Order: sequence, then structure tokens, then C-alpha cells
Amino acid sequence: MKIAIASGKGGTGKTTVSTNLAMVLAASGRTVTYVDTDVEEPNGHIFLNPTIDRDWPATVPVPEVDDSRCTHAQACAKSCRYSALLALPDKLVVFPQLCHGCGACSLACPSGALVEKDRRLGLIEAGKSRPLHLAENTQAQVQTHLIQGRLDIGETMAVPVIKAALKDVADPSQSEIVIIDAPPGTSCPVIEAIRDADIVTLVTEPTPFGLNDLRLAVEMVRTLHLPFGVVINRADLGDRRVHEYCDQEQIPILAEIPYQRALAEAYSRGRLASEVFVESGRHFMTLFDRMATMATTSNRRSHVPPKPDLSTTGYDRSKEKTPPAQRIEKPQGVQEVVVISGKGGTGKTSILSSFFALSENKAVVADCDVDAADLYLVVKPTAQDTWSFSGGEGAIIDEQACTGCGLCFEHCRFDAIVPIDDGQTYRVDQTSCEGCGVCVDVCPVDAARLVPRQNGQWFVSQTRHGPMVHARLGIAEENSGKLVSVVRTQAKAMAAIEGRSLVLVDGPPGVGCPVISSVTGASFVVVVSEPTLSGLHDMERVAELTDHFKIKTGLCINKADLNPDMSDRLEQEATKRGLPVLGRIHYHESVVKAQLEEKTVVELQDSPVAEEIRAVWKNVLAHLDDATS
Amino acid sequence: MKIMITAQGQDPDARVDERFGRAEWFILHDTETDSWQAIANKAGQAEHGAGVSAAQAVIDAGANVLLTGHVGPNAFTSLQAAGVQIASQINETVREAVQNYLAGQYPLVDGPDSLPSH
Repeated sequence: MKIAIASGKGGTGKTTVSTNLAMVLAASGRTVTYVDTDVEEPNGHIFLNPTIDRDWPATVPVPEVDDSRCTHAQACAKSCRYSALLALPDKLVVFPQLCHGCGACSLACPSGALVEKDRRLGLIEAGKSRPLHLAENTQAQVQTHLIQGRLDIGETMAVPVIKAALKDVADPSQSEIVIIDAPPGTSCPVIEAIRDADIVTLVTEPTPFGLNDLRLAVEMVRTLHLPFGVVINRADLGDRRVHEYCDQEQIPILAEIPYQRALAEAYSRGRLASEVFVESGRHFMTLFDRMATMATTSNRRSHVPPKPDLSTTGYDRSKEKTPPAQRIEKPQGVQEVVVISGKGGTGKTSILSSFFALSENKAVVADCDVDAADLYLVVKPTAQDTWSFSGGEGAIIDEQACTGCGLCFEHCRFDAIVPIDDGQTYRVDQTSCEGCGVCVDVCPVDAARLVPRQNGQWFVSQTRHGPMVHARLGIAEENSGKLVSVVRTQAKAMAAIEGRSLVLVDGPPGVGCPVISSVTGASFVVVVSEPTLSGLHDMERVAELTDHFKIKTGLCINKADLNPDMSDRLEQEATKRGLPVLGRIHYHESVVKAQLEEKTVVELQDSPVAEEIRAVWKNVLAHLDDATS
Repeated sequence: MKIMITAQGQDPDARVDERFGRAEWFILHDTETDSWQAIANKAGQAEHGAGVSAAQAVIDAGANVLLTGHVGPNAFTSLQAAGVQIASQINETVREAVQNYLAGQYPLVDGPDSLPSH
């Protein structure tokens, strides 16, 4: 059985649930493989501390030119929908970083001059967890198998790394139970991680952010027709709105995990709840039993994509009104502060929204976490202007014209072509299609074509602290990187139009494409981390990323008192990397209270952390002044 | 000589678009015939590789020189491979940019000055 653990929002406890489940199931005598598909920030290893006995690179096939055979027909460059090839009259230039490995160029080359070579995107590691003693039976040693993928820093394509990690567990005879720890969000990497699961568990928390992101995650699993249930973590914090939503939508709540400081501390040291508490282990076993029942009783339909609308010419950009960025000549003197974290759930949005409130109406805020946009919940935007976002193309097949020859099915490297009626005709699964156009190129009867896709929307709104630019990426869509660029560009334009000197950006979790799009060219990046081993690990990865792109960066430690020793370690690590420490913020329930009251933390009466956030903001401003002088 | 300029509009009095790959328009100026031709930048809406795609358009139009705001590494590599000269950091109108370039007031760039769009 394959169990996927996912969540719209980061930091809700996916890895906690996944690793504990893996261990209690192993303790029950089952063979278990834990697969970490959060390849931008893999954290399972922190708790499972594995011994790795094999590793291999995750790659994408990229063309190389055999100059002796190239006739400069230029057919390859014309076939490439990613502009990864530049054809000059006497030369062919390949841009491996832009290549998706679709193979269209090799198919198009009339002289066999293109040879595909593997280009590394990341690393897959396989091994066994450390032998653990669970609290239930401290005598017994328990181990699980582990596979983890890790995207190389600076690389943007997570999906091939996720595919490579999951490929190794494709054989069900190897493992009775496969636990898939998914990346956060609802875009294509998550879809890739969960699409073959027998059951999906969505982990959430009972806060407005948690509920907002749960709704998105529910939409995602429903699109894929997967059976699913919900686990509410830190169930006693926050309010009842998540419970009410699940009731209304008839979504089973599989487990509720109460907040215990002792658990959070164990987590911060890399210890599993089931190692420390007997009841924890039992709760996870109950959770498994419920999931197993659901998986066997639910009538899992295989995902058949809907029939395409053949009359569509796709998204029409010409009908748009003029967005802010086209109304101004050049945004000058606008500085940009970006808040990121690597790991989700460290408190990015709470801190960024406070910065916005503290900026005294001199800033424009941009929510670039387009997968799970939460900022609007605390700044309450009004008077919204809406634009559609089209970031790519998708193929559609005319089933009347299709002869069922199967060439498209054979050549599509993204498994996006689905046979219908035993292969009498074929259909494109838009959740897998990357718009490479190989199906169009190989179709002998021109039944396939590419149409522009509408992948989301973006908005310009007003809030009590100033304008806000935000967006919503459609479920299962890729190109969040481009949507992020749109949001940033428009926010800068709004700042210039309104004579504001600052843009504050709420960045997405991870280190991949959308994060790179959020930070490149920024004046200053604030990394919000937390004093846990996962927080430390992820801080190191984002620091490596901003160093790679040479962007000035500082560290802010949130929930610092959860583990003061770990906070010291975070500071030491930051100092070693030349990152200034901007301040520490304590854990306090007023942060959740602010969310419930739809306010930023600094707007709350008597929040002890408000002063700490103010101090961090002052430091950020000082570093900005340094950057300009 | 053919000069390609990135532009925010379709005529020579439009301002230079600071973006290259995602520029709104390209304007091609032929110094011999003193003609101006506006070309829509199809790469502007591309999902990926707008720099390379825009460079291909510049090369295909037979331009010898590009005047623009910023050039990323992929675009730079492309234009350099084709021998197109580049002047960047320009913030005037298209017409002024051409006059200034012809008067030798712009240094040619020898490397990218912005990050790639991917």
C-alpha cells in the first residue's frame, strides 16, 4: 500500500506524521519504505538518521551536438518549445539548464547529429534508518528502508528528481508499505509525489492559514480522484473552523494531534514522538488502521482526464486591460526585501505581514507564495483588480481525427498521454503535460495541437497598510516561477506609481524555481528559521542559494526559546556563512491569536513578541541603508 | 547597419524597454535606408528561455547591434555566438538611443548584467 502525506501549507507536520507512521508500522512487523519526495528541503533523514548504501544521480537527458553530422538544418531549434537550442547559420548552441529532456530535438534532427547525455539535477539516496527503540517496546529495535531525493542548489526542476526517487519503489513486492513524504503546496511537484498513492493524508493545523491551504489541497486530491482524509496537528491551538469545514465537505478527520511542548522539543532535537511517548505510537497506529480501511473500501477510480474542448484557442491575452507595469516607464529607487525560510511553517508570513504594518504605509506587499497564498488573510485586501495568468502551453488531441496509432503515447516522456478505450484514441492528462509538443510533432494526422493554458490569476488590491499584489496558481500547474516574476514586477510598478520606496515580498518555501524567481535581484533577503534540526538544515540550503545568486541575506530566528541551544547553533552557522543575525523572536500563542483576529502580530494589544519583531525590522532597515550607501 | 532596440511601444519615440527577453516590442532600424520597423516580441510570453528565444529573433532579423536595458547570461551567450554587439543600461527613447549609439556614446558590453529567467 502506498500512503502519501501531503499538505497545502508547509510546516504543518508532514514529516512528523510520515516518519512516525513509518516507524510504528515497521515495529508492527511490516516492511516499510519511507520516501522523502520533498526534494527541495528533505527533512526525514534528520529523524531517521539513515545509513546510505546506494546513491545515484537524478538526471534529465540533454542533447549534445555531433558537429561532424550537423547539417545546420535548424529543425531542432524550431522543435524546441523551451528555447534550449539556438540555431545559427554555422553553429548550434545548447542551453542545458533550459532543457526539459523531452526529446523533440532528437526526433526533429534529419541527420542524427544530436546525442542525448544525462545532466544531473539532484541525487537519490537509498538506505536504512538508524535502529530505533520506540517507547511502546524499548527492547525491540526497529528499522525502515529509506529513499530520499535532493535537488541540487541552483537547479529549478524538482519533478524529475521526485520521479527518480519514486521509481525505485515502483515494485510493490519490495515493501508492504510505502510512505511518501510529499513537498508542500499544490503545484506539479506535489502532484508527481502523490498521483500513484492508494490514499492521501492531508496534514493541517486549525488556524486560518491552515484552513486556507487545506481547501487548496482538497481541491488538488479531488482533481486526481484520490481517496483522502485529514490529520489536524496542534489540534488544540486555533479554532474549530477546520473541523467545521471537514464536516461540511464530509472529509474524514483521521487523527488529531494535540500541541505538546515536549513533542515540539523532541522534534527540535530530531527525535520522533513515538520514541518518546507510548501514546504517540498508538495514535499513529490508529491513524494507519483508519487509512488502511479507507484505502481498501474506497473505490479508487483511475485518473482519466476529461475530454478536451476542441473549440478552444486557449487563453487570449489580447483581451487584458493594461497592468501597472506597462503604465510606468521604469521603477526607480524601489528596494525589495524578500522573506523566505526554506522550510515551511517557520512563521514567514506572520513576520512579513508585521513588517508591512511597521512600514508606515511606505511599502507595497507582494505575496509570492503563489501555491499557498496566506498573506491576504491577515491584511484583508479590498477593491481587487484581477488579471489572468498564462504561463505555458498544453497539448490537446482531437479524438475524432485520432487514428489510435499510439505514436504520441510512445514518444511522450512525461506520461501525459492516456489511452482511451484500449488505445482506440488518446487523451492528454494536463496534470502531467509539460507542453513540449512531441505529440504534435509525431502525430501523422495532425490530431494534436498546443494551446496556451490559463494557469492562474493575479490581483492588485488595497489594504490598510498599502497596496498588495498577490496571485493564485491553478491546482496542479507548473510555472509558478513565472507567476512569481509577474507578481514581483507588478508590485515594483505599483510602488513606483504610488511613490513608495519599498516592496516587501513573502516568498515560497523550498529552494527551487519559485524561490529562485523570488530572490534574484532583491535588495535584501530575510531568512526566517526555527531552532530545530530541520530549520537548521533548511536555513543552510537557502543560505547556499542566496550566496549562489550573490544576494545580501540576514537570519531571523523565530520560536527561538523552543530550543535555545539550537538557536545558538543557528546563529553560529549563520555567522560562519557571513549572514548577519537580525534577531530572535520567542514562541508565543499571540502569533496564532493574531491570525484568528485577522491582524498582523504587531497590531495586537500586548503581544510580547511584537517588540522583538520591531527590533528585527529596524535591523532590516539598517542593512537596507547599507545596501544603498 | 541594422540596429535592434527593445521598446515599450511601436514607434521610435517610445522608450527603450529595460527588459530584453520579455520586452514588449523590438524596433529594427536600418541605418542605410533610415527605416524603422516594429516587431512584436513573441518571446515575451514564453514560459521558459525568453532570452534565448528573443536572441534568436534578433539574429534572424539580421541585426548587427542590440540596444537594451539588461541582458541575462543566456541571451548574452546567444548574441555573442552570433556576433551581435550589445549596449545595455539604456534608458532613453528608441530614437535617442540610436543617435547616442551612432555618436559612440555607449560602451559595448562584454558580459551579462542580469540574472537568467528560467
